[in-house]
Amino acid sequence: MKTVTFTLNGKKTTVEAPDHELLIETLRERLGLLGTKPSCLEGECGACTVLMDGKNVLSCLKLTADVDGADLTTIEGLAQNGTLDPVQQSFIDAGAVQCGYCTPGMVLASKALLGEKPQPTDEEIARGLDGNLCRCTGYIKIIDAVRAASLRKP
Amino acid sequence: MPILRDFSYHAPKSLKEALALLKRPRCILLAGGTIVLNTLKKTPKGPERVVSLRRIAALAAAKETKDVLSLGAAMTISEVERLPAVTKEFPSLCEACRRMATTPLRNMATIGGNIASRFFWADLPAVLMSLEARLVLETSAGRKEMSVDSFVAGKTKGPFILSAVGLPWERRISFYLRHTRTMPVDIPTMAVAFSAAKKAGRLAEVRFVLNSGVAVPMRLKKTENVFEGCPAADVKRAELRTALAADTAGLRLDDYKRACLQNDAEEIVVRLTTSER
Repeated sequence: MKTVTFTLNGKKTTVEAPDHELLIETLRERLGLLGTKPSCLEGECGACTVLMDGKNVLSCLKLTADVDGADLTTIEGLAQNGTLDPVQQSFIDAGAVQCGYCTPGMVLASKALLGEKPQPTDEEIARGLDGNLCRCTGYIKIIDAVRAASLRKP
Repeated sequence: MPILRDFSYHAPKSLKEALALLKRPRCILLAGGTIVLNTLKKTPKGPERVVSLRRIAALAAAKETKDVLSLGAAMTISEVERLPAVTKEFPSLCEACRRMATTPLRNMATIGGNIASRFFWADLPAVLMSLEARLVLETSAGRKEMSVDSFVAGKTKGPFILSAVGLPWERRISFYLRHTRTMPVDIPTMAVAFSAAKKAGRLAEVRFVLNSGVAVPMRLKKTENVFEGCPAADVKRAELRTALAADTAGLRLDDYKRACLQNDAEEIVVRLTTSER
């Protein structure tokens, strides 16, 4: 077992986890953060996306032991004081959600993109979300949502 | 049920410590994890020890000297892509990093892992071979340097840690063209990496490397000779076609890949000519 300490959604968090445990397992099974979705478990779909030090990474390809000292954000950490993050609100307003399974990963990937490029072009949005698959929406409304989020004031 | 089988995790803070761990049996190195962890999920008998390179600060930075840009092996593909020296001086490497895989994978995967995992159909081995990159390998017997060509040819012995990738500055002209089966994010089915220096207005030290999507990347030396010593505008297309045919005569390339290769070579001539104007 390893004692691992990191910042999770703004709070210092310490967990005891087996050396071979993946971050997605720790988040869901030890910390109860079920917004991080398991799907392909091999880095193809983006459903398990979290932000690590501001960048979108895949929690199915990270050992929990390897994130010691990192700053992590899951979908549960975006809304502040009951107010949705502008990206979350834009996804709702644009109707960019159908079954919703990919949505946490899409929102976090969008958040990372906007952190790096506050006014992305549609091509940059598509590239920023290239690691996230959606099998419902056809992506058009997702791109609309990210474009709208880039125009919102936080 | 856990996704991975049991192992012990180690995070040394120095190369010396990591090399000592590597002497133990059934030990593997972990960098970005995009290849290693996926492989472990499918391996019936995993390692006893996983040694993470994440805490070794010396592997995470780029250094510039008079002769070489040295990229720390633990730099992520995203970090390499955005490094101003890469953007400005090594456009083929920047292009390969930009087009490789997906954003989250580029944020995790490292330049060292992309080479050391020995999946030579990946994007970087061909590009680094074309740029005459040198690999810095740390072993228990000391540090040694090796060309990417030798590494690809399997000339490493015993356990090692790839600590840096050195790029000589003089190769200022470089292009990378890749083809995928369906989506841009797919692995390349075929790619061409080209680089050259320019001496007295003529192309010199030309490297034309083909990654045909199988086995290892290879230099097309007859094709390189067509470019060598020419002002870019003088490269003869008929000679180029003949050289490409001769270089690839024994290769299992289908008609589509041969057509792509021909087009890529001509595209390189166009880009060279355009950049001269």
